[in-house]
Amino acid sequence: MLEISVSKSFDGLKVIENIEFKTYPGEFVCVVGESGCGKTTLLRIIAGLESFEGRITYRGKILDRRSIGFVFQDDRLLPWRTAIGNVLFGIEIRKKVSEEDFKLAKEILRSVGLQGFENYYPKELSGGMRQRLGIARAIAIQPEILLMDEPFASLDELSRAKMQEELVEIWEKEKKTVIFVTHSIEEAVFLASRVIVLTPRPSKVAGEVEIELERPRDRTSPDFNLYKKRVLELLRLR
Amino acid sequence: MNSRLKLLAFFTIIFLWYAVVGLKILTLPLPHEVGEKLLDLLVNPEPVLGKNLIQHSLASLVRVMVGSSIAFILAIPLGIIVGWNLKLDTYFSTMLEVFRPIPPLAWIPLAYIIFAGFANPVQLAQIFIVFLGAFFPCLLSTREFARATDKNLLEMACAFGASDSEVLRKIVIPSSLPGILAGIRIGLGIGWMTIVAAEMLATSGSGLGYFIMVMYEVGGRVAEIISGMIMIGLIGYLMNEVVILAEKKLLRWR
Repeated sequence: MLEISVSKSFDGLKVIENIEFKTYPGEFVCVVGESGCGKTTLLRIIAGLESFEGRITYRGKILDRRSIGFVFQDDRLLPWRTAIGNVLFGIEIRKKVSEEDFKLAKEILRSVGLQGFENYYPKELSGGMRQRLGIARAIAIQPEILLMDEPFASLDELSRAKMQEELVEIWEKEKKTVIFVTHSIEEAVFLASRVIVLTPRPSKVAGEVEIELERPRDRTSPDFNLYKKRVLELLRLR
Repeated sequence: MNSRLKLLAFFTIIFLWYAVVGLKILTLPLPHEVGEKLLDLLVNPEPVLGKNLIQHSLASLVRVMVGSSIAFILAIPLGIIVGWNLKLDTYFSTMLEVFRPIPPLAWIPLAYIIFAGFANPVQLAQIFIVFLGAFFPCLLSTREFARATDKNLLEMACAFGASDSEVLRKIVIPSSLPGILAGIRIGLGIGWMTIVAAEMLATSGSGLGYFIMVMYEVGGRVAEIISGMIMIGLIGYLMNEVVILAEKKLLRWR
């Protein structure tokens, strides 16, 4: 279980009042909030990229940065490395790369639909493929927690929907805890087991919505819209 | 189409050369006369200095290669370190800025004095001048690229738990590679220019710069002088092309 209780100020400006929540193993949590409410800052704090006040514990201990996989909004791939080289990046930092790691990287590339593209450079891949590669790189280190910062924000609507479906499939296979930040209500309701809604700055948790819809979810069903409505209502609370 | 235009440009120069000499605007040997002399000098030693043009070219090339290699070995790591660390940059840059505005050729007299006590002072001084010419462009180009390393990639590496040395090896150095290669290309070019000039100013016994200077001094042997100039241009062009080829191969990802 990951327990988070953090506050954050930038130069005296309170950005995060106090965000407090827990995640359970294998849970898919979406964090929604207005632009500028500190969602990304929250993820950066969890990843250890940002100083903060408060506490983050994982299974009762201070969270180790190395148990985290991060998927960025911009893909942040290394342009001089091929697809497989990018997947191996995180592994290299943890240990000497073995033949098995190489096989694992290939396997992961296959699972995100990039088989055959092992030796392509990022500039040769489409936006959707680059995001998949970013996800593959984060999964490759076999993190206990996967942090995702609006990874599909720059994709067109069709590829975005497709990537969401693929992500759910990957998550169902890997059963990792995912914390996924987005400003799209639909995206959150489609992906999450639980949606955490943040207030505008200085942000705190406005409320939570447990999404009890069968997967694969139908974005046009009345129940789906009902959940969207509940999230929206929480967003409008001040 | 492109190669045709290149060919056309080449023939235009030859034609203009014929025209300028034919119309008696300048008194120079004609292109085919120089061509003949050039081919002759490539194999047969020129009597005054007793060496052919290949030998002179090699002499100059060796000096450039030694001088610029030393320059690159020092400039590349230094460029990466100062590009990466702003404090070190302020320190080293201030130190180097004192020397950078002094043209390498202005060092020639002092270089002869500095190296006077060594076994081969002329050779050493010339290598030193090449070193100065190649060092600064390579340092500046490497530093600029190291400094421009994508901050987002640095952060990504931190998020994956990379140590400082891993960040340097896996992010800063590969991201500086285009700057390093450009620095080598520019450094070699300037090194080549400085060696020719340095050879003109001292009795080095060999080298293309020395060759054309001597050909002038023994009585304005224009065909020989132009032959030497053509060699200088040709070698400079080829060196540049070799590095461009290496860039294409190593920077396929760009």
